[in-house]
Amino acid sequence: MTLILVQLILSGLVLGAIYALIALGYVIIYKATSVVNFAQGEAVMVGAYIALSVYSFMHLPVPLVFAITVAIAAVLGVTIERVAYRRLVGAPVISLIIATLAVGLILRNVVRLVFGPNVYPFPPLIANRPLRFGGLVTTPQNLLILGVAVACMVLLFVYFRYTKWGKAMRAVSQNGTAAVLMGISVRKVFSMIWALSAGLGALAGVLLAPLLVVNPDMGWIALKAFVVAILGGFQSLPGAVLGGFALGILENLAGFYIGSAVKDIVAYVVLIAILIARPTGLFAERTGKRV
Amino acid sequence: MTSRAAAIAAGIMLMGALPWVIGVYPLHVLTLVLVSVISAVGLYFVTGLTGQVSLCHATFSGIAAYVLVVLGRDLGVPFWIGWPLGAVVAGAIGYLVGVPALRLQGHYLALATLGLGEIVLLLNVHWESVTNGPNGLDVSAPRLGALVVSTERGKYLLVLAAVVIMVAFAANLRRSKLGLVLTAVMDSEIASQAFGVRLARYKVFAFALSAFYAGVAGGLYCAVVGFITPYEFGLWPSLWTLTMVVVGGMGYLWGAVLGAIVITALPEVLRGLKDYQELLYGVLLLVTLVFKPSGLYGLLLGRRAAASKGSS
Repeated sequence: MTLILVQLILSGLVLGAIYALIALGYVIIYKATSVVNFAQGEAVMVGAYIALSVYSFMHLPVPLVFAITVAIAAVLGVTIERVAYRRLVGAPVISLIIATLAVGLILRNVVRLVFGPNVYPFPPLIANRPLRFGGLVTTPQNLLILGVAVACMVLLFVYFRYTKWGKAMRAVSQNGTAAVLMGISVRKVFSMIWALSAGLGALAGVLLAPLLVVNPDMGWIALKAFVVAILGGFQSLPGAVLGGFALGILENLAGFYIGSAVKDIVAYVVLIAILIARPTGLFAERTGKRV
Repeated sequence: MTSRAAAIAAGIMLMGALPWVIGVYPLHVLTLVLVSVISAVGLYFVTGLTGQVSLCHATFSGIAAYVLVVLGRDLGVPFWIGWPLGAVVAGAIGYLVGVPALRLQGHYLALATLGLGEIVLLLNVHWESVTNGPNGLDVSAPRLGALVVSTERGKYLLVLAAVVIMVAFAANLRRSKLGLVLTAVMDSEIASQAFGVRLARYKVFAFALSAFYAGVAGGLYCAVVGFITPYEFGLWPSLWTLTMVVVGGMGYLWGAVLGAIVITALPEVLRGLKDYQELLYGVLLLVTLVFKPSGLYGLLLGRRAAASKGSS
């Protein structure tokens, strides 16, 4: 009985780590620009397609697949910011939000036109045989996914805490005007933020692809990462990580103990409950509205 | 009668005469265009008057549609009762979602509506004993005594009558106290709050009204198409309605009307480009936001302003 519980929690952690990565992408963008990026799911999908091209079609080694995918996605993120979002600086936030919806729509359809609507299987990232610890079963691939995701989160925290650009990003998200006065180039910071979030999304896409199949609609998963971001307060990086793991585990438990149809609904029920009971999320920083 | 009122009356009569002039298929398309006008005007209350985004507008249409069809099938409730009842249920659910979500700033409504849309979609897909799941439900034609609205002509006239009423109500609402308050809120939330406007209450009302409009459109859609499935009321249709409102001109009632006409009729005009349709919508959205935030209506206004300047 407890063994099943531990097993469910363990496998929930894997998907939870991916939720957390996508949610971190949302939070980074939101903290800096107050924009909810509805194209984050498409970043995940595009990442999976880039990885599919370089891994499945060109047979490059796995570490290179990760590097190339993240690099291309980051360049794409910067380009989209230049072409679309930068022109909307100063427009109402609602315009920017709708713009991200439009970008998502465009990305999804470009991919569908290039690769077709069909589903591609994604080859395993690492030889996939079951590993047993006591009564628990997992696969090397699951451990790899979890390892890469956690390593990424750690790197991200180090980046924000100790590097010059990471500090600049934090400064901009705390107070844009003051940051400009301190000589920080807000433009450059925004470019880097969109690059970073697109890269994170794409990385999540590579990790997700071997668990699912690759198709233009796989960005749906980002809806659940939304819930994760809200659970974490939408402003908090640790909140997004904890929220991700929490939802991954919760889904698994609900799927097993209540029924598999419930598994997909859990996230949205959590969403509505959070919005009613504690809309600022479980880990929100206290903020007032400036007038 | 002023000349403006006379022109409007003449326009409506002309529209009413159309079914005896154009063919059955163009008439069907026109009917669908008019249904989406009602839906888009409803969404205008949210985007135009409260400055927020709703991502489950089609869901409200779906709620009304399923209420109408299921009540009709299981209890024999006639269309003329099921239709308004469904719309009221949609409006009430909009109110319930709006209360928590609109207390908060900016993006929370977008997120809450996204969640509601997914929940209702999954419910409609999985609750097969009631909704018949993804296989969908047949809709029986609305009847009034011996009169059955089953011809394209009849459906068109029904929808036209509804459009006239719903758009006229929306146009008058802008000049009512409520409309003025909502416009003030749009201009400056802080200033209107300082004048004693209870922001959240007005926004929730606008949102519930928008859900009611979506519900009215949903009921009509049932009657026009005769068959419904859960996916017709999912996230994508909601996005298309948003596209209508934005491309037409966010913040303008007539922009929403114009956008609904253009976006619904576009696929019929560009028949060969079906694969590119969604891409086109995305590009139109982005181009409008970046280059002409006042949309098609703004373009039209600009022309008219330029023309009247030239003549005077």
